[in-house]
Formats: sequence, C-alpha cells, structure tokens
Amino acid sequence: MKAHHISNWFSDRLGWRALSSDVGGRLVSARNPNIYIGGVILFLFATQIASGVLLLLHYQSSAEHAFESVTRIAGEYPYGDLVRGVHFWSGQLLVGTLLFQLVLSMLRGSFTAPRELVWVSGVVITTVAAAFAFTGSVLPWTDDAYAQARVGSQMAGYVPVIGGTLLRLLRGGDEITSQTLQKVFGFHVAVLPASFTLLLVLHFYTIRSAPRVTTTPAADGEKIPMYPDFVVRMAAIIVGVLVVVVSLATFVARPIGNAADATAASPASARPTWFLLPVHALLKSAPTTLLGVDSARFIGGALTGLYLLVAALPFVDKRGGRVTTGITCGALVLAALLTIHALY
Amino acid sequence: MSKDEKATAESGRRDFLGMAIVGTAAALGVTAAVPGISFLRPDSRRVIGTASAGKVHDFQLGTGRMVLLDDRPVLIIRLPEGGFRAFLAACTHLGCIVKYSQERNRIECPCHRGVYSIEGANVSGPPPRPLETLKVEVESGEIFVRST
Amino acid sequence: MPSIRPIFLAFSATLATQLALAGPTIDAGHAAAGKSAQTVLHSAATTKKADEAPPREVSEIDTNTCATCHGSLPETKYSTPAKQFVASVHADDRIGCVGCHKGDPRDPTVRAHDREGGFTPRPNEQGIVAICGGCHSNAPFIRRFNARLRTDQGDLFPLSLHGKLATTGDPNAPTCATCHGYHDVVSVSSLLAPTNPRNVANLCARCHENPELMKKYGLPINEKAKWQRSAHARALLGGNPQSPSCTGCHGPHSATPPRATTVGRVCGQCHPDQLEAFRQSPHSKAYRRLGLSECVPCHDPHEARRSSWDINSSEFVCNRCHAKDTVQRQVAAELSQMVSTARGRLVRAKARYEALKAQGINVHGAQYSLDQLDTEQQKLSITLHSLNPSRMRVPMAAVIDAADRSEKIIAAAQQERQLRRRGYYVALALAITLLGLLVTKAVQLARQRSRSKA
Repeated sequence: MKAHHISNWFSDRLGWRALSSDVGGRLVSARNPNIYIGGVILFLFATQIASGVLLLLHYQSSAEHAFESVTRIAGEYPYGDLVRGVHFWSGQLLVGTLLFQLVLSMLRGSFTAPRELVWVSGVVITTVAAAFAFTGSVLPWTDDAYAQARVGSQMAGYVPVIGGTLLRLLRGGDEITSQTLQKVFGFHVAVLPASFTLLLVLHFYTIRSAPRVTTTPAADGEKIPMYPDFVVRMAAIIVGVLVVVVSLATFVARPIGNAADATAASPASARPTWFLLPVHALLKSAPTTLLGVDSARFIGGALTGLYLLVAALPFVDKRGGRVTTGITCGALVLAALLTIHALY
Repeated sequence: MSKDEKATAESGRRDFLGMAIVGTAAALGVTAAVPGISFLRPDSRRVIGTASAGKVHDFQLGTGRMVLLDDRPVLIIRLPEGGFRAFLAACTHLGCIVKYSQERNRIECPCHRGVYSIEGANVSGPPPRPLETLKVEVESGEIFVRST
Repeated sequence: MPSIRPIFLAFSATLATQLALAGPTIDAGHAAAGKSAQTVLHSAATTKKADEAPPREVSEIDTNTCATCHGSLPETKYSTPAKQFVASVHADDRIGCVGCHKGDPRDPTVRAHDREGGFTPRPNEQGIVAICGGCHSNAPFIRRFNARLRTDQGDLFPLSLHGKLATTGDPNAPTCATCHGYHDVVSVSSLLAPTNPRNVANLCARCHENPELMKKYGLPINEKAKWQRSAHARALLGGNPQSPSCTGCHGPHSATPPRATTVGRVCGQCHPDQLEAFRQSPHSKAYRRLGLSECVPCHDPHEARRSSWDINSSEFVCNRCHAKDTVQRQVAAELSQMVSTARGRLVRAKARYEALKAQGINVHGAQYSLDQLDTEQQKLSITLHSLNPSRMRVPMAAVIDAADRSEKIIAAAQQERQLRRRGYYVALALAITLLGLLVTKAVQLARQRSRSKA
C-alpha cells in the first residue's frame, strides 16, 4: 500500500487535505518576529508537557517522599537526569522567551488599539508561566525549595487586599506543611497547564480577530504561505531550540541539593529563580520600613501596582510612542543592575 | 538540458529533499523517544533474595500468616505438626491473595474458588499452575525465606 | 539519712509556737507574702491524698519568701543567690530556700534566722553533702519530683577520692555544690549546666588544670588538653552524646581513676569487641607480665584515638616498643600492609563516588554499598587488635569485596554516562543534518517564490 493511499484514507475521513490547503495557504508576514517567537513558545510548552508527564509518573508529592523521589529520578531511572534537565531548561527558556516577547511588544508599541486584549492576554500568559516556574522550583522539596516556598508565599501575602487569602490558598493553611506541597503540585500539573492552554487559545483568537496594525511598515512587507514556507522555517528554528535545550540539559550539572528540614535555618545560598532576582535584590537592600510600612509589604504592594500598570499598559499609553520605549529600556537596565546586585 | 528536463530534475531534487527531511526528522524522533521510554520502564525483579519473615514465636502452630517481602505477598504456614511452608500468595489464576484453611488443611483462593493442596499444587478450580514455593530456613529463632 | 518529714514537722511546730507568741504582730504586709494563719495551723495537721507515698506534710506556705526579701537587698552577696535560686530547678514550693537552709520563711523579723529553728546559713562541706544527700538519696521523696533521677549519689560519693577528701575536711575537696552549683542548679540536660556532658571537661578542669592546686596533690594538669585532641572529644562535640568525657570513664560521683593496670576494662565497656580481640593477641599475656593495662600502651587513655599504622611514619605504633625487633617488625609490616590497602580502597571508592556526585550524577545504590564498605573496614579494625594476620584474612577479603562492589556500581554509572554521551552526539549530528536540510528547503522555497513572482 503506497504512502499516499494511507494518507488519502485518513484525509477522506478527517478532512486533512481541505484543512491543510485552507490553513496552509494562509499568508503570514515573513519578517514579523512575533510569529516565530510564538512558535518557539508553543514548542517549549509542548516540551514541558512531554517532559513533565514523564516526571510526574515518577514523582511523589508528599513532603516525606518528594525529595527522595526526585533523587531517584535523577539517579535511578534511565535518562532521569536528562528528562529533569530538559524540563528545567525548556522551562527557563519558556519564561525567558515570554518576557522577551513582552519587552519586544512594549518597544514596538504593538499593544495599542485595537490589540489591547492581545496584550492583556499575553501578560496573563507570562504571569502563569512565572507561576509555573515558581511552583516547579518548590516541588523537589530541597532546603532551597522550602525557603522559596516560605518567602514566596509570604510575599504573596503582601499583595494588597487579596494578600491574606492568596497566602492561605498557596500554603493550604497558615503554615507550610505537606498540604502545601500537595497544593503546589496540583497547581503545577493541573490548574496552571489548563489555564495556560486556555489562555493560549484566547491569545490566538484575539490575534486573529484584531486587524493588522503595526508601527513598522517594513514588517508588513513580504508574505509567505503557511505551508510549506513558514512551516519549514519554523521547523528549522525549533530544531535549533531543541539542540540548545538538550545540550544544556546534558552538559550543565545540576546537583539536587539537600532535603528540606523544617527545623533547620534556611540556607544562606537560598535565591529565587533568575527572573525574581531584581525583587530579591530590593528585599535584601531595602531599609526596615518604607513610608511607615514594613519594607517587604511595601515592595509587595509596589510590585502589585507595577504589575497592574504593565497589564493595563494599552489603556495608560494610548499611543505606544517613545515614552513607553524609553521607560521600558530604563526598567530593563534597572532590572539588570538589581540582578547583578543580587548575585554579588 | 531542456526546460522540461530541468523542471523534472528540480522536482526530483525537491522530492528527495522532502523525503530526506522527513527521514531525518523521524530518526531524530526515535532518538528522542528512546530516553522517554526507558525512563518509564522500571527494572523487573523476579526473585526474592533472602528475606527475614520474622521470629518463630510470631507464628502459631497450624496458622498461616501473610508477610510482605520485597513488595511481594508471601504466605507462611506453620504446620500443626511443626515445620514451615512458604508460597508467593498470589493465586496463579488472576492474582488474588490466597489464604490457608486450617480446618481443611489446604490453601484456598476466595475470588474464584481455586483450591491448592498444602504443598501448593493446584487441586481444583481455575488456577492453571501450582503456587510458587519459597524455601524456608530457620536460624536462631528467625525465619528466612528465599526464592528457589 | 535525714528525711524531710521531721524537718517540716519541727518547722510547723515552731511556726505554731511563734504565732502563738507573736499573735497580732504579724503585719498585713508579711501576711500578703504567705497564706493566712488559719491555713497554716490547719494544714499542719491536714494530709493530702495526692499520691500513695507518705502524705504531703508540707504546709501551704510559701517556702521561698526568703528569696523575696534577700533579692531586694542592696548587697550582692545576699541578692545574687536569691535571684539565682528563683531561676533554678529547686525553686519549687515543696523545696524552697528552707529546703536546704531551714529556718522560718513566715517570720519577717530576724528571728526567721534563729539557729534554734534549724536555720543553717552556710553549711560546710560535710553539711552540704548531708543536705543534698538528704533529699537526693531519698528515693520515695525524689520520685515525687522526677522519677528518673538517680538516688545513688549519696552512696557513691563517699567511696570516691573526692568524697574521701571531703570527709577529712579538706577545703579544696569538691562537694555536690562545687560541680552542680549552689543556688543556680539547673537540670543536667540544660546546656547551661556545668555538668552537661558537653561542659564536663571544662568543669573538671577548673581544679584539675590548676597548677598550684594540683601540685598539692601531685596530680597532672594536662588531661583536658589531651582529651580535647581525642576522638572521644571530637565525637562528643560533633553530636554523639554517648562519647565519654571525664565522667564517662571516671564516673560522676564515684570519681576514682581506674587503676593503671585495669584501665582496659573501662575501655571495654564501650569497645568490647576490640578488647576481646586483644585478649587473644600475644600482647595480652605480655602486658600482664609487664604490669601494663590493655589498650593504654597504644592508645593514651585521655588522648584516645586511632594509632598510626603507617609503617613509614615516625608515629608508627609498633615502633614504640619493637623498633629493633625483626620478628615483630615483620608481623607489623604485614599488618600495616593490610591496613593501608584497606584504607586505600575505601578512600578511592569514596573519591570516585564524590567525583561523580560533583558532576551531578546521583548513583543509585552507591551510598549503601559505601556504607557497607565502611562497616567492613570497622570490622577489620576490630580484628586488628588480635595482631594476627591470619585472623585478618577473612575481614580483609570482605573489605576488598565490598570495595569491589562499590567501585563496580560507580563504574557502571560512569559507563552508562559515557554511553549516553555518545547517544547525545548521534542525536546532535541528526539534528544538525535536519537543520541543514530545512534551511536548504527554506532557501529553495524562497527562490521558487521569487522566481514565480518574476
């Protein structure tokens, strides 16, 4: 039986051919970075799901067994450390790419009307990805993870108005126990993936619906069909990303650390994930009180305000011009400086 | 070359390229699948090494007792006349846990009424094979069980 | 042994007498510090049914009022003991200041200090021993406070050299209070207690490291310094509470140094296997003939630790006696060889494991087999005390076996890693090829499109 007979059989029943000629013929702008970045994000998310499912089949989410199960994954099961490494690195790249996408949109001013909802859904997607990274780093239940859980949930408690509820929701109570780990696990493998998927669908829908408006006419230039031109280019980029992720997972040693001990002092080396380092620097260096409130609470409130500002950017800056670009660059520089300060 | 020949040659090259891409992608897919599948396949262990099942005085004469050795259920019977028998307690029919009946001096499986003799031979009912016997050694009051 | 019962009876009787005499001179202020006269008179005859032991004769008065008054005095020699006492383990209403000093806590006047009432301001050494022993060696009494406290101190102490010294009235002799404190006694398990195992060495050193003091008795002053260099100190301060300091071998209350010829028996309390092995060695008879104890010639009792088995070292333990004896040196060389081989294997296996761990590889099962290797090493060390190479062949083989097993596991993990590295390069080659093909295809498509546009 020839190959195209089989594919015809499926096509007749599933309507592939019609679909592929319909979608495949659609034209996309060749020079628009957003579609390539979007494709990378989708690929990284798919990698996360695949490696995550593999890990979840061996991970045990109780405080007594979590560390041991992670140690077994890395040491006992074949290719365990590779799966764990891929999951970690593709996760970091995912958050990084999303942040890059946000910054790019801010600099290009592509959040203005009528693309406000595209922007807002994008911000929420990035937030969910950050939540992924945070919850994921807690799951191994090492002393670093435990410290992160403590600090992170405490900071969540400093969000104005909803802080208390948020803290108790995250912790599964007032204190960090095995219940907390169970909740974090549930978020990481069920709630967040479902939200992320729905948000992605929403994001694509808003993109499809919004008429094309860009500030740089050059991006509009050359158009290429989805299939085969764009698919081939995207595939090339994806293979490149895959090589990067697997190489990082293979060559960068990531020791697991020590099991969490609720009765021991938090380790001096405890640091949050890299994108939270600017916040870490602020928390370390701020004076005890700021404007009459504990500095941590103040920073929590300030960050919430900043977040809302970024989320509502299209409504704040209706034109997306130089001011936003300037502020964005300034913020990036500040974040970089704070990160360096946090590390040394 | 004529224009037609050139076009044909070119389309031949295109097909080759397309097939090469698909082929390489498939090979790459296989190398990605290998770790994934090995990761999920745990080693299977078929034998129990020597394991301690407890002290002699924990077992009363004429009773059977279940212990878990290496995650496997093991039935240990202390015969009324003394002496021990040990079997893997999984019924050879569909895996239910069997029990020792002192009144009838035999081993029974409650799920589908399988019956085994005191030596583990499948006497009646659906079980197709005898129970797997384990060797029992008693040393300084402690019972050790080993796969044969 | 004086029991507490008559003391309190006498005491209540004294009180009743004093009240009868003093009557209305008891002022409101002092009454506030204690209970009403009625209660006092009644409770002297009242018995409580709290426990099956003899009924509580303690009347319901505050036995600590002395501390209230003394604590507010300006002179520190009065106020300090009072303040210390209230924070100590004895500040219990059933004991109080009067428990040791007797006297009358209810009397606000100086008559509370009446010697006729039994008041003892400053007991001497024998007095202290009698007072402390009076309660602490009375098992039924102490049981009411802490059933786990030992009650043999009173019997043991007089047997000790410290105790014998105390009975002679020597002012340097330590008594209960010297070590446990006078008014600031806390539980031994508290880290503040001088008698806590972690602090004992410093406690004994107060006297035993004092040159003038020890010269009077002809005793050395270097034991604590030696002990601090020992394996015992390292273990104890490293967190093993079973490792001995001074009291572990000398005993806390029956402090008597083991005789020079019998020290080995003390070591054997915790190290019975080594002692057993030693008794089968040729040294056993030889030492007895020479009047030497087991253990001591190779392991200093205070600076107790492993001896050096490195035949090339100047500290090689056999050289202490056998530097010139050929026969013994041959045996020593054989033993030294075994020990260094075993130790070498252990070090090598551990180093390989750590190297892999540093690369982020967690080798399953390696830690367990390394622990087994450690155990076999310990067994070899024990058998070493028999000084018999043929007896050591079996433990030696076990060590080599365990080391082989550990290194096999580690080597397998390393091999697997190398195999996977190779697999990675294969996948990398495939990926790069694919990338190349895709780029070629993309370029081709672009050229096609531009050609069809043209």
